[in-house]
Amino acid sequence: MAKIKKNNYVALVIEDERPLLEAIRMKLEKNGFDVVGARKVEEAFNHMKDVEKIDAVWLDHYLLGSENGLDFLARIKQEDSKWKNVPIFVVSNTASPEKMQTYLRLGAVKFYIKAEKRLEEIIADIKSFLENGK
Amino acid sequence: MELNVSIYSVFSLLAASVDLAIGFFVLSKNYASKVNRLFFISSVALFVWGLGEFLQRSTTSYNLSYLFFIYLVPAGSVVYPPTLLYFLNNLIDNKKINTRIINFSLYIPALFFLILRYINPKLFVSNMTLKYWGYVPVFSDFYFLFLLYVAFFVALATIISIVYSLQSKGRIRKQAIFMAIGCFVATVSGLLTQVFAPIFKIEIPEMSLTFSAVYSAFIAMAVTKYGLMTLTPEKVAKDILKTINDFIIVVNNEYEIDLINDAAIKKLNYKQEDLIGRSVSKLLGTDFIKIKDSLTDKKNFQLNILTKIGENIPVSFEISEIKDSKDKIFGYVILLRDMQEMNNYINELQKKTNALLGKGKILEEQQRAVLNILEDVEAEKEKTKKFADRLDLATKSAKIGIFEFNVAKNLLTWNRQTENIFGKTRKRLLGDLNVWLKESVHPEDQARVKMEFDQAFTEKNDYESVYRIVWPDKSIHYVKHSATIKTDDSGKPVRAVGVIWDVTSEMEVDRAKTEFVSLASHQLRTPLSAINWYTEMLLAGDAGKLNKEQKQYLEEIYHGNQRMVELVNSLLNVSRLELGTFAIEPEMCNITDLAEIIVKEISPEIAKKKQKFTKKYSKNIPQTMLDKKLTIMILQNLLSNAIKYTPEKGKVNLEIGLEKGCLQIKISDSGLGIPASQQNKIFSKLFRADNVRATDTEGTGLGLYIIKSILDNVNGKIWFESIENKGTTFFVCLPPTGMIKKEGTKGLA
Repeated sequence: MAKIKKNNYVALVIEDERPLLEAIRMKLEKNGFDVVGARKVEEAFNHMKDVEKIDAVWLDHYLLGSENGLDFLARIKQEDSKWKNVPIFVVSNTASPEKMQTYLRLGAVKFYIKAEKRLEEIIADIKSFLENGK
Repeated sequence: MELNVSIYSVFSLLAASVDLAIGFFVLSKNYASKVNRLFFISSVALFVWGLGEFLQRSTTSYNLSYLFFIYLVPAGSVVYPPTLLYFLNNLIDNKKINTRIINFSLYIPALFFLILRYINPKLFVSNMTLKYWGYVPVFSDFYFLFLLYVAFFVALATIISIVYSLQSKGRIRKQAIFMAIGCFVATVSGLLTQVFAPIFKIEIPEMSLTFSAVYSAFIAMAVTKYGLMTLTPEKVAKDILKTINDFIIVVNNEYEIDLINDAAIKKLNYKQEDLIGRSVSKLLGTDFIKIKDSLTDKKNFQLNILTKIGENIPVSFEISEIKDSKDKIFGYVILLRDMQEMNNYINELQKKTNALLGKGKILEEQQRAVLNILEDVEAEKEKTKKFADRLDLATKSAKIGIFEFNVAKNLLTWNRQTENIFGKTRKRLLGDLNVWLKESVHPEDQARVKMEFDQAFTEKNDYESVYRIVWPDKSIHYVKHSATIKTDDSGKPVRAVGVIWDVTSEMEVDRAKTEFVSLASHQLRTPLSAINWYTEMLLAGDAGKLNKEQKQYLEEIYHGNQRMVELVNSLLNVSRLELGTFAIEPEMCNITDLAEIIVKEISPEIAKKKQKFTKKYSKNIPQTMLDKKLTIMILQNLLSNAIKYTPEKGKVNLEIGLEKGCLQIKISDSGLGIPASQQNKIFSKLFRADNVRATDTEGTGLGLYIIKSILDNVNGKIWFESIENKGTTFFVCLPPTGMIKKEGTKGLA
């Protein structure tokens, strides 16, 4: 795990494919983020508990383990969750309109189709959201 | 004649008069009935008796009183008892007892006493004596025998009435109870005052006649309240004839119509007077008599009956002879049953079965079984029972249930097979619609099922529905039902008839297909994503600065990978279309708004190729129910093709308008055109025309195939006009009523 600097944004990336997770991590760090990575939901929650301040979550749908991205989102958005205001960006290749709608309805900020988006575009969006709130 | 009237005599006369009045009343109810006439005769006898007694008591002349007693009184008192029994015997009408001999023998003692009293009155009365209520006879020894005769007959009548009332049921019982009470009161009072009083030397006036008024009152109540002597079999039979729906014709030996019931008159459009006395061949044809004689069992034969307006109605035909007690034939009763409705019902079932054959995924064998039935039905519709049995067998083997909902009774009925589909084994196959919804339909589907049901009734439309049901063991099953709404003459819905079958396995297959596409899309795209992103990072210099050639090669990799992503997207769309798992989700929108989105998207490309783009939207385009994604996909594909295959500075034109029952999109270009020899293959999967393959290698050959498939699914059309090297115009016709919703598990991406 990279060392967390004080003034950087912290992003939690939840992605099961190791090469993709690494690419995202590198690109985010290039863009001044601190990154924690997870490959399954439970692992992601452990990070959420360990790391005081997580500014944004990068979330895939299919993950290792029995739970998927929707389960993570549903849990994090629960009424009593202390992370319910953390913005979530879903980046997945499983992109039926129904699934996209479900993610957005549950409170995801945006849904990207992985194969069709450049890393830079997504990261620019996240940055702009964190800086301007949109 | 001078009268000295005592109050007892007045009661006596009054009672006799009431009796007579009731006699007339009963007679007026049904003068043709023997029972009513007998009752009337008995009441006349009672009246004569009462009148005689009144005169005998009230005259001041001894001689006159004596004459009244010996001549007038017996005419009533002797005749009354057997007539009462005769009346009862006919009323009860037990065939063993109500015989001529028994009824005749009732009058033998009466005849004996009547003759004796007229020939030798001294045997009954010695002289008259004056009491405080008038003259009364001083009886001789023989009179006591006469009293016994009267008392025996009247008591017998009372006992018979009581036994009858105890043995009968329903309305008859109520009639009989009233009669028995009346008889009992009159008899007991008579026995007390006329038999026991003289024996014990008590001086009271004879009261039996007075109490007969009570008898009359009870009879009157039985008549008015419970239809005694009013609701006779003849009367009821007439009413039955009126209500029965079958046609009944009574003919004489010459086959001339004696009687025809109302149902037949109404259906045949005739008036009663048109037919009575006419030959029945007018209705059933001249061959009818031959047909009748050739029948062996005289049943289940079919022929046509001719209405006044010349219409032939198919009827089943039964005939039976009318015979008197000596087996002499007086004519025939012809019973005809209208088969038109039965045939309609069969047609309806047949239609339903046809629909099933078209839609249901029934195994070929089962289809054949049903088809066989249909052929048989065509050939011999009258054998409805056979048909019903075989349909039952077919629906059983195809596991199709049948149900019916009656609006007026709010009653749902279903067959055994339906019960099986719901995993239940109840004996009663009927119930309330709402109870059924609550008990059987999955809680999340109840509101929708009810709404669809109500809507079908409001719109009087046939409809289909797929929903989940919950078995008693809590397992969840999918069923599909298809129903027809039936209306009455005024167009009001009266019932729904439908079929239902289990589609759980189909739904599971659908889900499996969808899951496959979903997983495939994920698996295919993941490695492409890795290539994309790592290439992107290399190009961005994230791993160090690249030289010109390295950069150029990586850009080729990146571009090739982008094409691969598009190809995967197209292939996934194709598989969704082919698996039938994609959804159509129309919403109200204006197609020109959708077109504008695409126009904006393609404008950089147009600018790059310096093409001239024009557009024209008609002003009368209404808001339409369209699936936005699908519509955009159509517009996007056709416009990008037009741009791609039109050279620089060429023309691309977009028009949208209402044309000949179409919401029409027209996209024309001045591009390469489609070679005439390949125009018939242009919508085939993966096909690319030679001329475009030569100039551009990047197309997938899937775009037009996808569009065509989408349009086939939304009842739209696509065609084109094209000349090679001059240009192409594509026409798309969308139904102006919009797209129809299709439940699916995925939209196209």
